[in-house]
Amino acid sequence: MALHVNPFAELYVGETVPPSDFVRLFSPFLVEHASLLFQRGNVVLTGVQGSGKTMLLSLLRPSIRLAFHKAKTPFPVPEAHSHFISAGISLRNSGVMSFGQRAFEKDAAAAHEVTPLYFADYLNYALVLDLLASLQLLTEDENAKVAEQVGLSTSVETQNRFAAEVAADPCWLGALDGVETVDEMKLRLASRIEAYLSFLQFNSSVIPQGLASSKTAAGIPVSITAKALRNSGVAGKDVNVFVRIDQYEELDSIRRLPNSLGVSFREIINRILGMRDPHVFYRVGARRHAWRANLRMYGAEGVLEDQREYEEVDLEEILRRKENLKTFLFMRFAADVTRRRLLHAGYQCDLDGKKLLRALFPRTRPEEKARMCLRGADGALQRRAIGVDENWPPQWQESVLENGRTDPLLARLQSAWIAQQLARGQLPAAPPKVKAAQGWTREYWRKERVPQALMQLAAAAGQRMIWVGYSDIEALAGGNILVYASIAKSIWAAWLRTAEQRPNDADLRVPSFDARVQAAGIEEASLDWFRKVAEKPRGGTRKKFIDIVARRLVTQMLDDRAMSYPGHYGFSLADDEVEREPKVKKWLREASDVGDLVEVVHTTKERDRRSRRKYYMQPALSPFLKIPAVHVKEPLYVHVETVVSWLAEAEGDVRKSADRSEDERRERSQLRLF
Amino acid sequence: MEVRPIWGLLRMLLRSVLPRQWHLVVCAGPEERSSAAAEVVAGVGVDVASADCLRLLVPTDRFSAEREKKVDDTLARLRAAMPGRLQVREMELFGTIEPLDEIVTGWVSAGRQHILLDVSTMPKKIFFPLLRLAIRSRAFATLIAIYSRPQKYAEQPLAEDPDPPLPLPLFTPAQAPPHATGGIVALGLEVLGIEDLLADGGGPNSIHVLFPIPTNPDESSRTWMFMQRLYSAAPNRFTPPRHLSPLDYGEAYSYIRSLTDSFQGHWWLAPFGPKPVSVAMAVAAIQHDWPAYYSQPTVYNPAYSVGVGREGRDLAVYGYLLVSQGQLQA
Repeated sequence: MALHVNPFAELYVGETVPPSDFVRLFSPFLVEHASLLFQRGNVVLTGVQGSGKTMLLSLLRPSIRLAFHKAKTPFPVPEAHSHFISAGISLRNSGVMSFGQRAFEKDAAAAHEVTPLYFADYLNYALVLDLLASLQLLTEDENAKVAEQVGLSTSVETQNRFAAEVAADPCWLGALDGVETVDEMKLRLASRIEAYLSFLQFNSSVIPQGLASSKTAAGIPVSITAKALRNSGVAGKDVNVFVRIDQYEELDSIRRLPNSLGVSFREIINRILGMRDPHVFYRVGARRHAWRANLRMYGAEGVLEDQREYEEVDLEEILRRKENLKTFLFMRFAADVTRRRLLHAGYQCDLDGKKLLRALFPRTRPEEKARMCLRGADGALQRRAIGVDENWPPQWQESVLENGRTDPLLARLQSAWIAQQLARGQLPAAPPKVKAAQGWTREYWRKERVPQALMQLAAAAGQRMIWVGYSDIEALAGGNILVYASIAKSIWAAWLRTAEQRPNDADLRVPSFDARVQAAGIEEASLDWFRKVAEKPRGGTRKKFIDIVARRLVTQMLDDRAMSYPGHYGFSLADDEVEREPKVKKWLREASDVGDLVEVVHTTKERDRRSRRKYYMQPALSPFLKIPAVHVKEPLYVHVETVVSWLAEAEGDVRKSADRSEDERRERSQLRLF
Repeated sequence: MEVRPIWGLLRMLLRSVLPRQWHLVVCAGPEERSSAAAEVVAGVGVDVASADCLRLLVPTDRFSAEREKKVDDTLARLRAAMPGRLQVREMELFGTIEPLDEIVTGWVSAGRQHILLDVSTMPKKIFFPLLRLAIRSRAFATLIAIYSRPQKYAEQPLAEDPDPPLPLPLFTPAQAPPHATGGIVALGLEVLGIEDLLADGGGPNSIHVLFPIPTNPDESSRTWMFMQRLYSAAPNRFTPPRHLSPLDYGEAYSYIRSLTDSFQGHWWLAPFGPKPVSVAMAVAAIQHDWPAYYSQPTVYNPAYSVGVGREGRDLAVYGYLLVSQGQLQA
């Protein structure tokens, strides 16, 4: 018997699903846009959590490659770029995080000098060991076909000759002398790693003998090994060697140690990239600002240069909505992900692209949303919500009320227009009959104010804003596939638990979610995202900051009855002012790195032409914060002192956040009653 | 053969073991329960020859003044309980763990044989490595971990601004195996960084949940919230939770043993739960070289807990006999 499951139940698809599931769930959509990942040269892949970094980097893992082969599914990397072997390290889940916990020298200055060199040595050994493990995995008998596709020799003799050649290289300073086979080499490498960890975990009282006198230079052993792979015939001349270094920003946690070693460790990695090694190419997964914060190279004067020592592939930039909708990729990506998940969950899905998303998430027109907000409201409330002023000329009052009976949104826009004209002293004596003269219906004037009008109507009626439909979900996702998946998951969950909507178990056609189900799911997802803010590093203060700023902006937008500032649900800061306040700069960068704020460089409206950046709350928070998510018109221009004061307020007493917890609990219980 | 560790009210446990010369280790926190163990020990009249008191240094935050005053009050109570025997050692919470190694080495060279380790207000970032160093040294004949249950926890957030979920010091995975056998998460009262951990770590393994039975509705609500977050983040890897006593070290340890088929495979642990359960996880991780992840908060509510719980006429201060006659009781 078929049973409905939530196709988005498991949000994360990276290292947390078995390779066989990865094959079915992976959307190759981004591959062509991140094709640099599979070509020669160093690449830094940046993006917030959930932007797809780990998923893309996973394509380099040999186990994933083999899973595609086993599933008889074409490997999603173009054939011309598919000749590669890789090694990798995930910094959080490796022994690297132990470095800095124990001094290698008694003297602090000497320890500071020498520890980065040990770190580099450890990294070298770990990466070469993983490269050998990849080689052995890809060339096992049962994987001979894949080895052939990649361009690897399965001959054990050839591989052992290669190992002996690498081990004899002077770069190891004699540490691998006598090694004659790949297995021996792996044992020797593993033993050195173990020796490091034994010392760092205080299991041995002294640095194991031989480590101090045979520290390898950063990046060199990997380079030598990669070169030998080709020279020995183990790998074809066109086989690239890639090295994955994921979770680069975790080194910041080591940086918290008083000795600032994390900075040196980052500079070691930077230095390796700076070598521009022709034999091996690095792929670093990092958050954007965390990466750009320090590009110095260890022991060198210079800094890494984009396009020279590395190319940055910024997933946020690729997926963020652009002015030209034809180049906007995100929803096509989301549609592909949705289709794969539906099929994986057993649904019958013959739709794709926008058709699929429109079928799942049919939209509700703004006019209908306004009606839904005011449904059941009495006349006085309707009048207040629409914003009719008793001091206006009676003909105008009548016109607005007349419109309000059938179209409250139109009436609210009209009353805002009236307020604007009155302020300018330009209100005509009577409402014009000709549509062209009805300023409140002009396309752009209206379009820019619809979100604010809906916000004001909902607030006046004591209702939540209503978020429904494909385009609302697109706006709320903000180019982040994890956010999209979490919204889809919540909507699906709302659908499955709603008795009157519950489908027949045998009916596995693509569902179409009605407005109530969508709205409930979206509200729930938004609340979850708001709660998550505090769970992230330094998120407690950030959550309060977002709450404080959102309340300020919402209050201003609700009070702006003339809707003269319809874009003030974000704020803009001049770059030079931010530079004067390093704390604010660091704060904003970190908030945008973790995805809680969206930072966009923008063109100023002011004559001074100073460069500026605008900041918006993460769109997924909008339903909870009761603030629009579509960014139109100019944001609120503020001076840095204003942000300093917001931040100071956010750093206030943690106990005040109890109020918010109460709000959340109330919200949560209301949602669960649905 | 499985050894069920002895535990119970500290007062009774101390009376049941042979008279010894103890070395007490406590952490001077801002909570009232920070001094409860020392007061019980003094009240029972056992021979405490010396005591180390860790005073943790953290970067200044908005609570610094309030916290420091409360810590001073704790120190005064500790000095009153252990007159002339208390050595205060300052160390940085976010520093290296070398001072802990020096402390344990110091006990060994001073011939301390019997240790009372009060973990009640000691952050996991400290007591996990401290426990590892003490157990791995094999230098102590007796090691009793102590936990004081508070009267109640603050209704407000207990802590905030967590670091990312990272391996606790000395509990780092040697090298990430392609797929761990599974993960064991103990539920706590604050959801900090758990999704990050599930998103990036551990591989596609099942997640087993230790659900300490809450003692009041507020704790219940918080614990369920934690479980909801965990389930929501990884429903396909989630297995039904195991309910257990928040105080019973032995129950938690035995469950980990049976769950892992007598510690087979490579498991990762996330000790977010109450201290006795965390001690059981620490001991299992120490024995089998498993990694343990935790999101260390950087800001603690100075009113983290109120008072010390009661168990009848006794203070709710419990002892767990981890090492007896030089043997780990596990």
